[in-house]
Amino acid sequence: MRQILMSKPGEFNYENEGDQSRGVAVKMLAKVIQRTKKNQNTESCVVIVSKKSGPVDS
Amino acid sequence: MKKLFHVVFVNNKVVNFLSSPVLSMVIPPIVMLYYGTLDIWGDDWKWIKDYKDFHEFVFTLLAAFTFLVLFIKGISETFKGAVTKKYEVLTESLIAFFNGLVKKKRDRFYHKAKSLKFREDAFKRITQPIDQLEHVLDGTKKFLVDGLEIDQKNIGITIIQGNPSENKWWYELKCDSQKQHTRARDLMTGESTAKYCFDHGDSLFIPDLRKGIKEGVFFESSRSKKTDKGSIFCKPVRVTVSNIDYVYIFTIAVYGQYLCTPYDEIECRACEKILDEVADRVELELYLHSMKQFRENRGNTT
Repeated sequence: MRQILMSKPGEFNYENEGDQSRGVAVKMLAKVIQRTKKNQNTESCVVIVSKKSGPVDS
Repeated sequence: MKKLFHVVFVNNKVVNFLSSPVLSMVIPPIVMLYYGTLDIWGDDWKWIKDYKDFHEFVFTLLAAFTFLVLFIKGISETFKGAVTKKYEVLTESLIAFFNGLVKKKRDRFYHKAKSLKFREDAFKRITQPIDQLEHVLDGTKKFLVDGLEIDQKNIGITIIQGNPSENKWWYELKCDSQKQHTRARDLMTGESTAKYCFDHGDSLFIPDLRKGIKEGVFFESSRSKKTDKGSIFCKPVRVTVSNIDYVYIFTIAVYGQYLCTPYDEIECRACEKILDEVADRVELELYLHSMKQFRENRGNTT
C-alpha cells in the first residue's frame, strides 16, 4: 500500500502559497492516469494518507 | 490571495455556471432585445409606458447581471487558460519521458539485432538495464524540470542497492554522479525515508521534509539543513530471482522547493500518483537488472 505522510493543518508555516495553476494541472493529469488504470488491478492503487509515520492497517 | 482567486474563479460551481457558454450567449441578446423594445416602443406600448419604474428596475438588473457574467467569464477564462497551459506542458513532459524510454530501447534493439551472431546470447546482447536506468533517471529529472518546474540543481535522484543480510548498501545509480550524497549505509542504518520504505515494503511520499524529520523518517543531511524545505518520494523494489533477493530503493528528493502544495491533500495524492507512474518504469528496469546480475554473478548479489 502506498503511503503519503502529510502534515496537519497549521503544523508548519508556509510563506509561499505555491503555484495554483500547476496544482490544478497535476490533479487533472493524475485524474487521467487514474481513469486509464480503472480496469487494472485496483488493490495496488490504494493510497493511505497519514499524519503519523508507522505501519498502516490495511 | 492567488489561492482565493483560484477557489473563486476555477473551482467554483456558481462561477462555472455563470461563465458557461449558454449564459453568455443567451443573456446579452435578451438584454439587447429588451433595451430595443423599451427604446422603440416605450412611449407607444401601454404595458411599457404604464410600468416605467418596473421596466427601469428590470433593465438595470439585467444590464448589471450581463456585466457580471461577462466580467466573471473573462477572469475565469484567464485563470483556466493558465491552468490549461500548465496541463499541456505537464502532459507533454510525461509523454516525452515515456516516449524517450521506448525510443531508447527500440533503437538499441534495432542496432543490436542487426549484428547478432547465431550462437550469441540475445538476452545479454540486447538487455542493457544500467544504460536504460540511467536514461530513466535522466528522463525523470527532465520531467521534473520541464513538467513540475523544479530547478534542476534542487533534484537528487538515486537508486540504492543492498545486501540486507550483510548490511551492505551502495548507490547503484545516481542521476548526477558528481553530486555528493549521504552514504547509502548511513541512510539505511539511520532514520531515513529509504530505511522506512525498506522496512515497511511500501512507497512513501513526504510532501514536506519537515514532517519527515519530525516523524523520524527523514535523514537530515547538510543539504536539507541548508534549504529547510523540500519533498521526497521513495519506493522500495524487491526482486526475487530464483531464490536470491535483490533489494533496491528508488528515491526522488527535491530540496529548496516542494513537489506540490504540501497542505493540499488532493494535490499531494495526485502528485504521488504521477511519481508512482515514474517509479513503475524504474521498477521494470530493475527486474531486468536483477536477472542480468543473477546471470553474470552466478547468484551472488554483490
